[in-house]
Amino acid sequence: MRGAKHPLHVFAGVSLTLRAGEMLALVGPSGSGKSTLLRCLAGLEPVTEGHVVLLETNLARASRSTLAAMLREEVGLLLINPPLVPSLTALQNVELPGRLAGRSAWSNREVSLRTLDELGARDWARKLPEQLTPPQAAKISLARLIAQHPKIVFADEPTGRLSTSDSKLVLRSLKKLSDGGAAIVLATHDLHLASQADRVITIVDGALGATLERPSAEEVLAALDQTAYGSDE
Amino acid sequence: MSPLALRELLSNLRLWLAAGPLLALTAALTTITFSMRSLNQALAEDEVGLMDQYDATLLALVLLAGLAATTVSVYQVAQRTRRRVANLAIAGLTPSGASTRFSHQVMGVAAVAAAVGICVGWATAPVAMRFIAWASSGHAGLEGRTDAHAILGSFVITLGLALIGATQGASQARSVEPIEALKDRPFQPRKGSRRRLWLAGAGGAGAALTAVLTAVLPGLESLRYRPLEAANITATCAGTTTALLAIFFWAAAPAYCPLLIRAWTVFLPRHRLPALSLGRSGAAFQARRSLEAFNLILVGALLAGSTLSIYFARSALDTAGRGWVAARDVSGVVLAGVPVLVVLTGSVLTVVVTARSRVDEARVLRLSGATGRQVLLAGFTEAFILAVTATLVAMIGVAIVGLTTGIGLAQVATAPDWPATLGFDPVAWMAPLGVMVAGMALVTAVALPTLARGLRQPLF
Repeated sequence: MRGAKHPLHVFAGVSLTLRAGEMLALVGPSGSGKSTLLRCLAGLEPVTEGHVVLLETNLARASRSTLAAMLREEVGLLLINPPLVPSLTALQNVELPGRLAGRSAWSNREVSLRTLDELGARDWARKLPEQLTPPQAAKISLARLIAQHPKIVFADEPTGRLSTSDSKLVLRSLKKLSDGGAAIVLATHDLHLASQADRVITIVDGALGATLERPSAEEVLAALDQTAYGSDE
Repeated sequence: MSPLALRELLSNLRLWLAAGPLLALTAALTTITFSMRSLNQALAEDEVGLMDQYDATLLALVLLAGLAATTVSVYQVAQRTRRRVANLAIAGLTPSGASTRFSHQVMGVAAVAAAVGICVGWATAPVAMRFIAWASSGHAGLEGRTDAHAILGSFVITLGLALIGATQGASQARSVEPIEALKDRPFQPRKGSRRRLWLAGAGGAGAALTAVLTAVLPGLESLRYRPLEAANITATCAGTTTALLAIFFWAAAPAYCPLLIRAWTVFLPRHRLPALSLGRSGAAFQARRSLEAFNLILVGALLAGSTLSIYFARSALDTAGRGWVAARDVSGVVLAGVPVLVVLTGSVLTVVVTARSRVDEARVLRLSGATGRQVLLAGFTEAFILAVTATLVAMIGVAIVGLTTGIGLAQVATAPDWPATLGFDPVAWMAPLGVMVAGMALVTAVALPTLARGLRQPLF
């Protein structure tokens, strides 16, 4: 990774390919590097060696404006701390990627309001982020993601601070986006959420472990134990 | 002061950055203003009374500017150090302990700043005197006199200003709850309570200032200079009106500022350019940041315009027959810049202190897909909107002051044909516009590099 005075080697030998409509979960203990890997894949952290090709764009060669265009039109982010602009209302935050992309104000608002309605968040449309509780802010962030219609979604602990019912809503929404053709990459501790993915990869100390196809939560846990601690028996 | 408290004082960089230079500047300007009283020694005896009063009015304006800038700065520092106080509160610090600790910190900064300011004033007062003497050509004998009264007065005034700021800041520190240390984002005071706090603070400051201006100064001066009593009182009333207007507009800003911004910016083509829309939202909805910049620019524009308005009313009086000296004209212009200097310094410091929120905002906008150009344009738009709005309000204030001054002077004038619009001079009207441009340039000059720094930083 660049940015520090000395390059920091977090990952080595990582090779991943993601298909359209696929939901991939990265599962690992705290500090294993799954969030960092997610950011590298999303183009938010530069890599020192190797390359990340996102939607046919080599991120190492992409300009800042290209990355910005990808973030507002093709790449969606769902983070544990929702990145909402503090001076914009909830509705304006949902509209933001569309506004920046130059979509028509009228259709952008219609889509945004409809999305807020679907998520039961219409009542907070005129509130500022500082007036929202963390679960409400997470819903607004989810609404923005849905209204954006991204081709690929990077979600870092998307259910980290949510109640069970809100977690179900997030999962349902991600499934819907995936069914619509969007690729989803999740970094999560939540084994139940991970078990809903098409593919699960365990990650420990910056190294990728087992790859599982549509596993159960128990299988994910067993694979994680195996990756982290090996077979002690 | 305990070693822990001393270490805390020295490490509170925000406080030193925000309050220190402002208080030092106020102290320096107060010393210079006091020293200018020596100007009177070189003038004719029958003019001294009016000029003392004129100095007193201008001094009051300087103090008002210092009061506004310092109070806003200390208050915002208190709000931004809530997390630090919360960390102490969770370790057992009581609310009164937090309040006392913050007050002591502010007063410590003020004492150091006053000492620095007085030294600066002592050094620069003779230079100001020589400039006035040179510009007025004919008073080469003028010398700056920085006597014990000037030093003592500057010290007391600076500490007094700091105390007012510290009282407001300490109430913030007192309201911190230990739970805030555990929250991602500290609790914010509700809008209503913030407004009440502003109104109470500004009302108290206004009442105190009005009492000083209307009771003490004209009383003393009119006892000494009977022939000019009416003009003295009129001049003081004009100064008081200016002060009250500034305080009124300042105190009521939380109520009308967002509404006013939303009203006139409807005409911006924001649907075409998203950055304009972002800048407008920043100005209208980043309430705390906007109000700080708005108030500082407003008070600067209002004071500069009003001071010049009074000055031109006096010039009209001069033209109509009463003798004035060139030195008075020059010193009037010099002093008119004083409030502007204090307030613009405050504006820059305010923006510097809010740098963190701007860097965060730039990061969030980039995560949403905004380009660097859009982020910078949004920052510029915000500065432009705030400066224009503050100037619009200030020009209304200048018009009122010009009117009251003109009417007042016309009433006391011996010649019945003096116009009632003595204070309406184009230059006085231009002053707020000049402050607007300067304020916008300064806010932009500080905000844009901050945003640019935010653009260069990693997104996580």
